[in-house]
Amino acid sequence: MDRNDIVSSMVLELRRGTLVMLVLSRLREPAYGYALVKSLADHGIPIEANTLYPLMRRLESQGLLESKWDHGGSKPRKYYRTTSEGLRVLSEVEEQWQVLCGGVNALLRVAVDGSGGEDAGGSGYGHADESDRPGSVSCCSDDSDGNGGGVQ
Amino acid sequence: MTIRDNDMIERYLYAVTRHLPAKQRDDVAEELRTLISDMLEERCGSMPPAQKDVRVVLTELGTPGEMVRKYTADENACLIGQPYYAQYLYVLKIVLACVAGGMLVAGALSLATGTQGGVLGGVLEGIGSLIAALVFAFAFVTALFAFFSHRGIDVEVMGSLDDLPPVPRETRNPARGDAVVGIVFSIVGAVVLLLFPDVLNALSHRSDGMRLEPFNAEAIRASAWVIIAWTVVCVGAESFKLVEGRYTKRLLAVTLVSDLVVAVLAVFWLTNFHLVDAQAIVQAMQSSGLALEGPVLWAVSNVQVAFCGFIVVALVIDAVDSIVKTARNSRI
Repeated sequence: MDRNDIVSSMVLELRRGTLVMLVLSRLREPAYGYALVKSLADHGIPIEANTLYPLMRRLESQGLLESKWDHGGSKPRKYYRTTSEGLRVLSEVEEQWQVLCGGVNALLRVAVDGSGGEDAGGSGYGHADESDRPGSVSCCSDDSDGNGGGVQ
Repeated sequence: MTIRDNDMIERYLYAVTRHLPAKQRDDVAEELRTLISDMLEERCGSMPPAQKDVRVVLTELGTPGEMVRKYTADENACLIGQPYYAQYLYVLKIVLACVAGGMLVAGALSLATGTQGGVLGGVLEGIGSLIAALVFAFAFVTALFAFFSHRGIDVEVMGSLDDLPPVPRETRNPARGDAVVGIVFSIVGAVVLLLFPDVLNALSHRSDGMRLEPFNAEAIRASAWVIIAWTVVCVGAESFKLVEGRYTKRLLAVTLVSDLVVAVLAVFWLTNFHLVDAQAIVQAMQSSGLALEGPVLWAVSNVQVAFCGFIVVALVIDAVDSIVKTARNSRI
């Protein structure tokens, strides 16, 4: 496996980990599958339709999404929307995401600066008090459109 | 869009949805149909899509097999999942080795003792029986572990710190070794009884050279289902012991139930079938100068009843042994 393949594989894993959060966030407003594919692609997050459609179905079976068919247009469309339970889950996951990003960014910066030290980076998971460390968040700053946690 | 292109889309949708649960099929097909239409519109704009466009879009969407895998990714689709698979392979090797070994030894004995007709016929018949027995053993072990895997026989005993298993004092877990011995004995015994009952007679000799056939091969064959049921219960219980890995309360429950079932089968088998010619044995022993009297004469004359009692006592000892080991294990 050459370097490009390794990088692609790692980026794919990173995307996979954030996908559920992004879907729950984008579906605060009802949308059909292909519109969500385009919306995510427009934000630099390409996702295969054959990954998203089964995922939305699974989230629906878990009660995090609800769906409704619309037969009024030129073709029947199934619109999905995040349920109140999905929003609660999203809120908690988003909080953990902010903590995680803060810790990861701090650790990555330490590695680049070469300053080292046990206490240089946030220990991350489960310690919400470290998420608001000044300057530690670079990729996870609050979304201006309220969608939360988007990697832009 | 031509009818042929549409036909390709419909065939694609059918290929995907036919492997999904029936209640989801129409919904998934309708949703994917709209998705394919959207993708074609994006690709072709206002132009009608050609067959090539349909192919490109469907290829982009993924093969039907890929789609099915993604739609069923969260389901427990494999027959035997981990952590059962490793133990399944382990048990399968033991069972197949026992079946093959037992049959080869018994087959060689039957050839050597001349209970088979011709050598070639005996070998061919033996190979046929061997293959059939191996297939049966494979199917049985596979079905057993598929049941363990799918019916939630939970082998995860490390759910909390309180459930951490003790470090065994021996180098290997005692339950595992006991289970292997149990499986080996069950299968070898069943193989000999089921397939080569004549060998038992061929191995029996009277000191005066007269023919001795203490075992009733016909009755043993007629009661084959009891032997099979006995073996299935024993191997099933021992396999559970292997999966569990240590003496727990639920293993004790399985052991007690299997002991009870085996006891019932043994009593039924030994009291309803005339398996052994006790008089022939008594005569053979007397002809060799052994003076039988008292309890020994009774035991030999009523060998089936005596053997039945022996088995019940052995099962009681096994049950008590399991209770003691479970109690000891829970104290550690």
